[in-house]
Amino acid sequence: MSVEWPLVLFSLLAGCGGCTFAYLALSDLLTSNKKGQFQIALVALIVAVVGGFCSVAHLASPQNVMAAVWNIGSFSGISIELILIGITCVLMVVYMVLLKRGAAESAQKAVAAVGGVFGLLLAFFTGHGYVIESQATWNTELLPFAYLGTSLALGAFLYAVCAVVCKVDEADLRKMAIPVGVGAVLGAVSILGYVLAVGFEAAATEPVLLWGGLIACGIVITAICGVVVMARKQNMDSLAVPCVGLAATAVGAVSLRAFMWVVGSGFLGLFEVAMNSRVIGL
Amino acid sequence: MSKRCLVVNLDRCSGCDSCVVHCKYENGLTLGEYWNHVTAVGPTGDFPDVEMYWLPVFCQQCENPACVSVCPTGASYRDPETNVVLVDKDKCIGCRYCMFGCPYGVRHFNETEGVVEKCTLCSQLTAAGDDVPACVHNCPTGARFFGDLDDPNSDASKELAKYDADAIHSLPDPGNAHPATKYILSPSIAAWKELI
Amino acid sequence: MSSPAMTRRGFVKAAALTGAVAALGIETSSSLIEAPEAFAASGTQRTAIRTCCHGCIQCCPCIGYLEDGVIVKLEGDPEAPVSKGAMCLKGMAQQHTAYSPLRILYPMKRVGERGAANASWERISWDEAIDLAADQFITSVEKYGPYGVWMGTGGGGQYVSPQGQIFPKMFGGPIQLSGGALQCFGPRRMAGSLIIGQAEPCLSMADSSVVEPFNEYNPTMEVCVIWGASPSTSQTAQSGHGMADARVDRGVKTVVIDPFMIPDATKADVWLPIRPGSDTALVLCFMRYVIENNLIDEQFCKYWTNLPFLMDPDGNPILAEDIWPDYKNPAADPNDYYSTPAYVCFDAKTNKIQPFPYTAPEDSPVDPVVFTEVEIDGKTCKTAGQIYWEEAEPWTLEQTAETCWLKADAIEKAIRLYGEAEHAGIAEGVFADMQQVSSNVPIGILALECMMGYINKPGCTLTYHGSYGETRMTNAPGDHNSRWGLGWTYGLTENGNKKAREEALQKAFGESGKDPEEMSKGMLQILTDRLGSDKYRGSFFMDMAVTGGIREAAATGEPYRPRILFEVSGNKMCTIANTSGWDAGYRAQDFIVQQYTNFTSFTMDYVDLILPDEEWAEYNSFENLNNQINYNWLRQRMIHLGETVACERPFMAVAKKIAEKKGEDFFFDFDYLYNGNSRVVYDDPAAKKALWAERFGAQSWDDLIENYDNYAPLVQPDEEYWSYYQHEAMADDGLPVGFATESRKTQPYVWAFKELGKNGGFITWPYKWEDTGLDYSPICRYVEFEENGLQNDTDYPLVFTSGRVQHFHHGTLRHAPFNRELSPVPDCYMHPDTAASYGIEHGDWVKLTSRRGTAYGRAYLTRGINPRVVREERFWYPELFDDSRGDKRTGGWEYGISNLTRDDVNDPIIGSATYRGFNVQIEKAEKPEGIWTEPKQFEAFLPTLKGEPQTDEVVF
Repeated sequence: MSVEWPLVLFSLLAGCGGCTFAYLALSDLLTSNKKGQFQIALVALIVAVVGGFCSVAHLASPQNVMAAVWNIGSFSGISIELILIGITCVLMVVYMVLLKRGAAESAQKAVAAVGGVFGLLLAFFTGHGYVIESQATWNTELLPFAYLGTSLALGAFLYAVCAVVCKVDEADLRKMAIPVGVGAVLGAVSILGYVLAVGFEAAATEPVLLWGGLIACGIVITAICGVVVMARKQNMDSLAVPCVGLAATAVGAVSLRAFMWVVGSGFLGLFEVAMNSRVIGL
Repeated sequence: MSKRCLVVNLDRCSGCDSCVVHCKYENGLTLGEYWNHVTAVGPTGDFPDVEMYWLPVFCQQCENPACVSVCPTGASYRDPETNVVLVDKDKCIGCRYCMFGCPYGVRHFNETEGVVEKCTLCSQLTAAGDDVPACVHNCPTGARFFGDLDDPNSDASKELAKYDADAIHSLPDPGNAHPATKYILSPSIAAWKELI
Repeated sequence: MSSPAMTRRGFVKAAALTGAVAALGIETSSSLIEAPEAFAASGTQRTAIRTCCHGCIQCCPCIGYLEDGVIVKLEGDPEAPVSKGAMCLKGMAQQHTAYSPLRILYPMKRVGERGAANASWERISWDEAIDLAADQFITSVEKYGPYGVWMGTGGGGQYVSPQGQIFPKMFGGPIQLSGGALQCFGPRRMAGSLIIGQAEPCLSMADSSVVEPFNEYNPTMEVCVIWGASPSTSQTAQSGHGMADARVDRGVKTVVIDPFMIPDATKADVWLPIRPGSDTALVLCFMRYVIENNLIDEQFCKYWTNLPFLMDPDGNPILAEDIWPDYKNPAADPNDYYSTPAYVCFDAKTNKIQPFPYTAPEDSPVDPVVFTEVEIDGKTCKTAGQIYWEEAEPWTLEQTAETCWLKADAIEKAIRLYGEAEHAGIAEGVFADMQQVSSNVPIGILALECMMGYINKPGCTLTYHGSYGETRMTNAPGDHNSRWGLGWTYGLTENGNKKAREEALQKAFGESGKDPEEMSKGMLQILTDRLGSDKYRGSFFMDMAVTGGIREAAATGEPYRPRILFEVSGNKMCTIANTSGWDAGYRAQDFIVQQYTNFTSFTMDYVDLILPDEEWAEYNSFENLNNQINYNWLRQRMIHLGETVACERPFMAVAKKIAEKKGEDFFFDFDYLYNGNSRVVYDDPAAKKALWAERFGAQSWDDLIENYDNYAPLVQPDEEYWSYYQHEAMADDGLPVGFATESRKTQPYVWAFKELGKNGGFITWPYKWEDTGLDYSPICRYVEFEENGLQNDTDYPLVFTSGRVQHFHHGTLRHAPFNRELSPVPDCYMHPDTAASYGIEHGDWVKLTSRRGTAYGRAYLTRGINPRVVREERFWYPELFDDSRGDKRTGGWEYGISNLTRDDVNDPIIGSATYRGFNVQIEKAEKPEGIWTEPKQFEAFLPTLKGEPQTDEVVF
């Protein structure tokens, strides 16, 4: 199947935005210092919203998204994604408003926590819509977990980069080292899980994606960066590792999504056979 | 509620491709667009001991259609009266999830209108219940039968009733789709191939 | 206004539908339907017209639906007894081709040089066109004489073709060309005429001769052998449907003999993938097996065939009077008009030779032995049956299996199915007509059917439908006899023939002032000078010159040059053997007129004057190909565009214009225009219409059209049509009617060929042709082709065959966009092992080369073909001269398989060219430049003429 790039970018950015916010929420829960929180929330919101716009590009006409909105109650894959991206973004905005207005700490933390959870759900469900029985290579829960995992890794590194840029207190940053590292490692593991679910032999038919995108970037470099972050808690103010991690993870996450499309062969592509070779069982 | 679908007797089908164009003329499809197509299966075996049949393919009217469940707008729907899976093109947003969801790859994306289309069992002819789809009417070998499988007196049911169970087949089911369309292929003509 | 197609496509749900139908007030259930309100309010009415498809050579009744005079839908007529409402994609294509941008709607003359590259046309009036053509023919005949005038027919897309014979002969010209005829149906008609006394039924299912498999009134057929025919691809919705019903509904078992696994083979009980060209061996094997295993119908052989007749050592029949000069033949006509000879047999009752007079079997004085030889006056005389047996004897199952690349047990299974049935028969396709066994195979198959007694019997393919009548049957060789007194009529004595000849000549020329005897001799000269006819005298049966002879004459001017051509078929450069060899000859023509429906490669390259022809949607006719079994319909005009006219009219108009300018004496026989063929009085369409209306029992043409449903179909009662054993009915001489042959019995041993080769025999009587030592075989003999796959031909290691595909008929429909989209280029079918050995993959382009030329196709890998055989169908590409191209050129005839074929080896009697069964080489190739393969490319062929106004047919 050919790669649906708008959908790749949507799931990548929406998941990334959601997970970035989840890391922000965690930091909010773990610390009391609010430095950089607003800016990071804004980044998460922008990334998620851009992702949302990307999904619109997949439709025959961008206005058509309104039809999807009006039919939000269908609880199809798309409507769940819409619901989740909507709620997550609203919670991000609410969180930012609470921050600006200096609302009660407990309210801020509560909104952050709920928003973070929705961010994770968003990341998961951008992949869950593809779990359909007609697509054998997609029909596994390891696929949405890989979407979640790669989003988590992306969110982790994006959070780390933003936090350093925003000069978040080093002590607070250190508290986030383990979660960031874990996120990266989960991303690597989740990719490995999906590749194994597809089957290594089948995956090897796409050598560039497999060896370059998924294994080198998505698994090895991402995991190394994650481990380095965990091991070097003292140097959390360095941009180098998070930046490398973010780049590698982004390549891995894009590769994972592209990989999903190219190995998606459908159950029986009967029109395609009829139009091309015209024969089954040569 | 009725259970309308097609039954194709492959003992009769000669793979002539006529149903492909009957559909195109009747439904106004143009070049490169299909709601219905035919593929050869085989010949398999070693020459000259070979066998083959043709497989006309189109919407299988699944009992649990993934195309309907994945549709975000309700554009893909099942007509409650006839059980026929249809697309309401006013509601379709062209997201093509139904095409990803269809196990058989028998939907068509109309680039001009930006909507997904499919076999309607010529609902413009059949909705009132007194006509048959163009491919059934015109089939050069009389291989196609239309009707309500819950009605033993429908053409489709009567044709099925002529055959033993070992001659009646469905396309393979990816899980829980339960395609309603039936194909008749007698073992004496060729062994049914599962295709997967 | 929304187009109806879009509204149909916009269907949403039932509620909208029923509302719209009610709003439109449309009553037919199949009418159009759900529509936007604006469209519904426009009040467009849909009208239905019942007519008949003419997408191939059969007739499928159909219904056309029109809105604002435009065909918006076609569908099969459910009342049709064989096609039962079916319609195939060839017929459906009329919705596009009738309105095709490639259509020719007006007479046009070429501006500038010939050739596709700069082809340019100027529209002229019909008067100008007819005048121009007449002047050109006058000039040519005045300068070079009538032998330069010729006519081309055949190849699909035309409706009737008597003009091919009539037009040149009117001038005294001997040349008629068809890619078919001698290569299609002609050979089987000849065999039928000589063996069972009539050209039809003669084994051809495609030509609607074989109908017993479709008999639902009295279904008895058990086994049908489909030999080199492909009903499901050639005549998809009629014979294809009929065979599906026969197999599935009536349990008819089938044997398919074909090198390729055609659709009917996939359903067959036995498929014999025979080596192309080796069929004579298999025919003789069938014969040997049924004789050896006593599966033959002995009674029929004894009393209804010439097989028990004793032959002299020269192979001619011995008459009773030859042995017993005083023998009184009890069947002799006291008036010496009708002939019923008595022959000689070896009688089992008396154990000696006896006179064998013609009687009903039960009244016969003898019990003839079919297979034996006896000494007569010291000479060994064999029965015709014995001669056949000796020819068949070597063809054991094993020997045949080896020769034909078959399995012995499969052959045996096939023969037993055929031979052990009570009601069976063979449907023989066109395959042998297109090979150098075009006389041998049909004669052999008919002989086999005679041995089996599968004639005029329920459930047999050779069964005549209707009655023979109660008068004596005679069989004359066509117009040559009835107009010019040439040729012997079987069933008459010499005295009878003389009388009939005098009457015919008197009727034709008695009041014309012409000397009848001179006219007779004149026609004899024309016929004997016909290109190829000196050698291939069986070509008389289709009244055609031999294709290779014409090609050579056109290119070299020897023995005389064809100079001015009236062509009424489509693309000859797709359908004629040895295509590339024709180019020079066509270029050398002084003038070419073509009447056709659409531009072809031939038009673009060679034609000087185009005349527009009606598509079948525009055509009124109740002339031929208007029936399915005993049901008859009118082919009725649905639309009429531009200035198209029925294909029969222009040549008549040109002939009459010449007569107007130069007088009727300019012609050899002007009156032949009207008397040549009873069908042709098309210069008075009103008279024709009145005649057709009368046949339907209508008051007038208008009455017929207005109340067509009341008159159609015209049905011959089942009990009259499905009648049997016609030859056993008593004739007015108190004897069984028998068959219209010399012996009044079937004559599987065709002794007439002896005389034909020697002196013209039954064709030139009372004149004799020069004896050039031609020795035509009276029986089917084993023939091995020069190129046959048996030799170690390293340069051309594969054997080539061809055959129809469902998407096209002959050379037609290459401009039908939906057909081309599904079959854009010809498939070159080959076995995967063969492909692998040449590094060819499914879908690769392939170049085929024979000793004559090259062709292209796209590899289609299939296990349904012998690894030593490849198969491809004819093709051409109108896109190559499409206006969208910067480098317009010819329609790609140089890529078609006809370039591989040969006209230099022919059937020895008929002269049929060899379209199949020769050696080729294949190699992987690049796609020839300019050929379209993607669906969207065919947009240029989508209809552009739907806005054309409806017109009346031009009167001239």
